[in-house]
Amino acid sequence: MKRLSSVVLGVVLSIGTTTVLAAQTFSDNFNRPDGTVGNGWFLWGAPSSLVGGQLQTFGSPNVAGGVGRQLSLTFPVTFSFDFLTYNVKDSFDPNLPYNDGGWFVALNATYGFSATPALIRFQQYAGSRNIWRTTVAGTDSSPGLPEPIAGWHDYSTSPAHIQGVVGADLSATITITYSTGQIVSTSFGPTPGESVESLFLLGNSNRSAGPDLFDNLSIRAGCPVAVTLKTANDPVTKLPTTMLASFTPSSGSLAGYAEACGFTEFDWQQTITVLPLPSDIYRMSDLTTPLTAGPGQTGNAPPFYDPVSGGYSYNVTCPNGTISTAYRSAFPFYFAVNGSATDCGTLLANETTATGAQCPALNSPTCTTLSFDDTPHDPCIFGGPNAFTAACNFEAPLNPAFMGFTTALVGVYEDGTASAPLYQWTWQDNNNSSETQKGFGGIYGITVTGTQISNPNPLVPGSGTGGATITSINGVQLPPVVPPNQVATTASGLAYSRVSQTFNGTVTVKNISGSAISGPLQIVFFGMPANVTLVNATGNLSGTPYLTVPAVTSLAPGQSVTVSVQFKNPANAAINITPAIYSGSIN
Amino acid sequence: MSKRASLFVALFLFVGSAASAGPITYGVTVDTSSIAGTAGSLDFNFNPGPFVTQAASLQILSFSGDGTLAGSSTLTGDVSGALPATLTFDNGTGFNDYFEGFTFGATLAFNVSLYGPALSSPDGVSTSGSTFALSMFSDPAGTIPALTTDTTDGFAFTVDVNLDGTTTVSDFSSQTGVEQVGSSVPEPSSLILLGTVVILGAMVRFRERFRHRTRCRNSA
Repeated sequence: MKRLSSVVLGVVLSIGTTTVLAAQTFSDNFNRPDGTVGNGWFLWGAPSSLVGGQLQTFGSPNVAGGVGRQLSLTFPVTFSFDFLTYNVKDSFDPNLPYNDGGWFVALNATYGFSATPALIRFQQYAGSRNIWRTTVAGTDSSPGLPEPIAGWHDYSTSPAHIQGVVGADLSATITITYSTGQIVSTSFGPTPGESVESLFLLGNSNRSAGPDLFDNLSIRAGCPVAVTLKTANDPVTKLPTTMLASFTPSSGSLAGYAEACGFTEFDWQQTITVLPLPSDIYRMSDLTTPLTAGPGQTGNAPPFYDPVSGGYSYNVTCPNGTISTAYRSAFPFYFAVNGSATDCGTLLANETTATGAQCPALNSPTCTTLSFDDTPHDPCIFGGPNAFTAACNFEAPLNPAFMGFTTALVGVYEDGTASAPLYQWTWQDNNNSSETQKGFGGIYGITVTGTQISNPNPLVPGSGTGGATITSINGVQLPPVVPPNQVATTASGLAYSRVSQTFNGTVTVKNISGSAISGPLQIVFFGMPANVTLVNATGNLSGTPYLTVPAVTSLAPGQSVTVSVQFKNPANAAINITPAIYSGSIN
Repeated sequence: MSKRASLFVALFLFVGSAASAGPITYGVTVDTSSIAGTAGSLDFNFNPGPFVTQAASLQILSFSGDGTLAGSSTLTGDVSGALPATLTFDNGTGFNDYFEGFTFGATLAFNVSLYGPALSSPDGVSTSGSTFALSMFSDPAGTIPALTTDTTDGFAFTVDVNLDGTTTVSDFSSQTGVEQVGSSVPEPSSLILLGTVVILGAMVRFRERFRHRTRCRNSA
């Protein structure tokens, strides 16, 4: 706790012949003598001071109180701090069911509080209330649920940890870790914004006196990441049974970019948000209680990291035939930071060089891509081989009848903890295939070399139905997907035009089902290489472009529609996209 | 009769949609007289689509005319050869391109031959075709399109390799003729025309017979 506050701004690291703009970092643990805040901070609103190595602030009607400083930030930005409050009731309305102990953060702002113009600001009036975001586009709130929010808690005198990740498109994810260890998280989609000035403001958001205390403030900016998402199909059913992702820094190596961002590594972090009962998945440490998550027979079970601490009750067999030991120690990450390349549960086994070769050593400067794969399946789901058998307690999950996941690229700090998500997506999977080897998704080591999949498929090809569906990207909710067995999406070749310097072709969407498909139809181009852009895209989901099919309100059975596509591809890379069709609007 | 005509059309369309056992070859002739003497350039490219694409190849053969190749050629991707000799392309990379300076004469001619698994044995699982494009330019750098109505992209014509192994020509140049040669399998567009001619012929003959039989009956 005696770390000095530090400011590192705009440092440029040269890595080989390329240049990486290092992360902007600022931190303050407030471990200075009681009294004046100092360290370049100014005060706003009700007076603030340092007490016991923490920043003490007080509430005040229409003003609140806190500190600010010059800090021009380049997005994306990750901020985090600890927060506690002595407020027990709202001083002005003690009948309110929340305690009026909350926080306020403004980025690239000007001076003030209640009407602070800022590129973006967040505030939460109490821990059990919605979080508000304000930009020039207006104010919105998340999760947008009735207050007090079920499962959320007012802040107390025990510190909670609050993390926010704000994307360059001002999408944001706020994660709160209560002193009990419980975690809640909520996201905002992209929104327009304008930088006002270059102030960073921190304080409480309260009309009640408090005091409200802050500690361990950390701000990190300028670490943009682009993750390529795609799915791979069952070779027989052509249904998307494998979720794939890869991260390649825009320049330099994984290790170099991690260092620039203030991390020792990058890794994936996945939580299972929905696992319905009956379930035959158990923790290694508890062979009697089946794992479950999300809504179901036992109520709303909390999500859990995948893999769970200590691993599941079964062994994970790698494609090379060895049994992974690393996956049992990977928690809370998806891949274990340490371990050999022969163990498919390690980071090293899932990092490749620019040519797609296996990485020689972790943090080697030749390692440029970190891959992710998961092939979950639940044979208890209706139609699966174990549904209504003893293995599934003679039942089949009905509502919900799918598994849910939240997966994120995170940074690994030197102390082994994870950063807030740098890129996050949610997805569902209702595949009910048989398995060639025991494993609930997890780590099967389907290696991704470029866009080619070397597939020791853990599933018995053609043995099931259903598959993976991406449901949101960095907080932007996608409309319902059109199952791939109901729609055929094909494309022409791409003719290169020296005039427009684009690769031009067409994409055709045909309804191969027996029912009409409602519009608007969205063609989402998953798997787009990082340096390729869809020129005529309708929009972009944090690197994944989509195209709204014009003038189609409904696609009748057998009917098809063709749209033009134009790609910019300055590196002439192979464009191997996995399209998905969604029915509805993307907001 | 209308039933019989439908059978004719169905039969010809089916044949036209079948994959080709041998190469599909187009003879290309371009009337370049309107830009004769212009120091321009030619661009040929043959590329896969953005999804899963089956292997296909293409050759530029019998390149001839009274124009003059100028400067050195630029080859990108899976291309080999040098004009006026045979050029060979495949769709193995995202961009397979041959570009060369060219001083136009009055005429330009060559053959485009397409072949490979995507044409001879479509796999039924690929989701992208491949496309060949010819562009002509009135400047050596290849920035000012010539002899085309497609001023946005500058293509003179394109040939799409479809997922069923057939090909489709799109011609944007009134000075450019693209005709299939060396194959007993007519193109679908030709087939429809041919089928229509056959049907119309059959209708005429039927009517003539009908009239003849009617006349016969009337005279009986």
